[in-house]
Amino acid sequence: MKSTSMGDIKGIQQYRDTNSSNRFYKSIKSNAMRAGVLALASLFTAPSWGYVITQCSNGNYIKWKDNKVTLRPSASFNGTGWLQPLIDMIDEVEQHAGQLSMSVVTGDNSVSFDNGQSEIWWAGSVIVGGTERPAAATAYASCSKGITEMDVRFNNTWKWDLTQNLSNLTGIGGSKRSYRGVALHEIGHVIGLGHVTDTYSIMGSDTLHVHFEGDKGRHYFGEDSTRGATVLYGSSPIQQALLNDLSVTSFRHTGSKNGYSTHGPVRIFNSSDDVLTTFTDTNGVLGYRVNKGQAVKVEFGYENLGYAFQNNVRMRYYISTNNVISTGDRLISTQTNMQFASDVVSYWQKSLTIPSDLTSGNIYYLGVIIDYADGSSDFRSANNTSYIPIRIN
Amino acid sequence: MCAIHHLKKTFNGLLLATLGAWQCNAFGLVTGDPMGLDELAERANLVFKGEVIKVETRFAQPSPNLSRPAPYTFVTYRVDQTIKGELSEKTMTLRFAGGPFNDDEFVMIDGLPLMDVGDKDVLFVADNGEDPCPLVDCSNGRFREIGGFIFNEQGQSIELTQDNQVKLGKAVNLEEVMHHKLSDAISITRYDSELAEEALDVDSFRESKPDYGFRPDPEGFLTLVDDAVRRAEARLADNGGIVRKERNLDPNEPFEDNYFSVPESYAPPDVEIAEEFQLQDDEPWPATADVGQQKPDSAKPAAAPKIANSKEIQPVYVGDDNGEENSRGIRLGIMMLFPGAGVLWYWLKRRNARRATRAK
Repeated sequence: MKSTSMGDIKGIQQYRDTNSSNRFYKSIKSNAMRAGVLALASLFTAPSWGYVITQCSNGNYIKWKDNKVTLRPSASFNGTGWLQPLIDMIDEVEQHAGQLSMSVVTGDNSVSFDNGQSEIWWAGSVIVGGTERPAAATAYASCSKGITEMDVRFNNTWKWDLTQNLSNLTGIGGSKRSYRGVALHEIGHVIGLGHVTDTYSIMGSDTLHVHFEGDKGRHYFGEDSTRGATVLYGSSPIQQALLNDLSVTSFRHTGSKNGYSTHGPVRIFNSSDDVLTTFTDTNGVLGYRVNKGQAVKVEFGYENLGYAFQNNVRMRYYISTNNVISTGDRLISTQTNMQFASDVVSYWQKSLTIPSDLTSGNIYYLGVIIDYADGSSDFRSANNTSYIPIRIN
Repeated sequence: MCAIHHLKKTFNGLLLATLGAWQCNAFGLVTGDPMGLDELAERANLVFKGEVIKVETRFAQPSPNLSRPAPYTFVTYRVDQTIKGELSEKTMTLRFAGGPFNDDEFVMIDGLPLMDVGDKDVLFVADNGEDPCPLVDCSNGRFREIGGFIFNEQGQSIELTQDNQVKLGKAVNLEEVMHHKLSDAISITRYDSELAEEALDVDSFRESKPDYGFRPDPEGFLTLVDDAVRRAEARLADNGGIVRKERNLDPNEPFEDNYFSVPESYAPPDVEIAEEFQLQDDEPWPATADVGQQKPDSAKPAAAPKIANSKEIQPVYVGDDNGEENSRGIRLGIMMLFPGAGVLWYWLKRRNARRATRAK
């Protein structure tokens, strides 16, 4: 397993901080780069992978043996607003599941367990252990054939959100569970991934595994699950070459509860490494109170959602008057020559200075855009940015 | 009875200074319950400590909804101590949905625990024979004694903070946690990539420092559980409630399947399609924008068109697996011959998806 992951990051050594579970990478490509990265590496905190897969005693992984699966949403999805988001999430997983091919056949009129078909349907109740759940996945498998059927049931009594409005979402501004987030989690089970407790992952708590895009929250498969899927299904040279997808998140791993990783907002620290006091914006997004001219350290999570090691990455930090971050906003710092392996979520604390000419009492958005310094294209640009609200004292 | 004395013999002098900070209420109980022991104790009808002496598969009565009878796993414990509830027998048999069909095939439900002969557990039991997982909150109702320490189902150690909070400490790469024998012919191992990299065996774990205050030994943990049960019983008495006697199952008695034989698919919840937004995710960021902070249209979610009758919507994506596989193979072949075609293909795919979404 370790050798497989190291194959994606040739020339990179992995360090372990013996005092904690922190790890960071350094490049051995050049002494100069090594020195620079060593200096930067000390600011990385706790990148770690945590994907969970299952293996039989004969060495076979519990996975789709022929690298393909057909999912069959029941006919009850047809003509509703629930079908396309489900298909979108299946598409999202397929894009990040290496050489696994996922297809969809809609309109299944006779769903059932143990019928040889992987079906998705709505149930009036999904109770396990006396607790109603939003969804559940049931796997039929064998050690010789791998996964042969995987059925997913969604609970139609759950308080679902389809709008992706941050103000609606549990843990942010509301109390609704993202249907797309749960779908991604369950589809992760479909492809053979288990629950995660120890890293930022959609296979942990899906509620706060989300990109900010203005007022919207986009749930996504994420680097840890992509890594697990790649271990199961491999990735082709073409995928490694073409699927370059950098992303930024405003959430981090904070612990675990009930067998799932828990996630919380990233932080802004003062120069003494104390977390600044907080507030919430109109969407319920957690922000931090800062002073004009204050030196701060801003934390974001950076993910390489592709299949290959990426270098020549740059991060640009902006101050915006609203929560849509673009290159038209006020640039306050640029970080270049960054490198990201494709198997861990890296948390980076960037030292910045809050501009002195901002207006006290106003809310701004401290945003970051991650991309390639040479202008190379990214598979999906919409996940290249995120933000943290700040209020000027 | 205060919980302190159990923990005194667990830890040496270092602990004595700490114990002064422990809070004992009128029942002599440890306060602080972020891990949910109180809720587990409240919801459980039976709480016991025991050891697995048998794991066997039985099949439910045939169902017209299933092509073959569904397997269930019966786990029999030797009961060493009953902490809550009534149990006159010396063994307790629990029934879990799922298990092996034969020497090769099996069915598993995500989140259900897997037991092996020899496992020593503290269990919070409810609805045995009714719920597919007869533990309160399923896997969260199981605590495992391994190597003199207490772990949860995921292999996370149970720890206590200086101010009596129950916390989850280090996860340990334990054979007992990761490896399970579903039958004589089927064994599986859960591979947790985090643990594989930082693997701690029990000896290393024993030498390591707790992440929080300290780690209760099994006896100390039982004291915590007992305290939680007493509090739960007191609340129940205040509310006039009763504890139901849990069924002790006989694996050889015929039983009906109550999980896999599901009724016909339900309808999804109602949703206003007009409220649904699709994020535009495939347009590049502009190199420049007006200083007046005008945002590119691609950064703003586009409103879905209002649709009068949801039944008129046709699914956007329809295909059979053979057709999809053939076209995928052709795509890969073209991309290998003409690398640029790969980029073009992905761009076209996203464009077509965007157009189909707008057409809705």
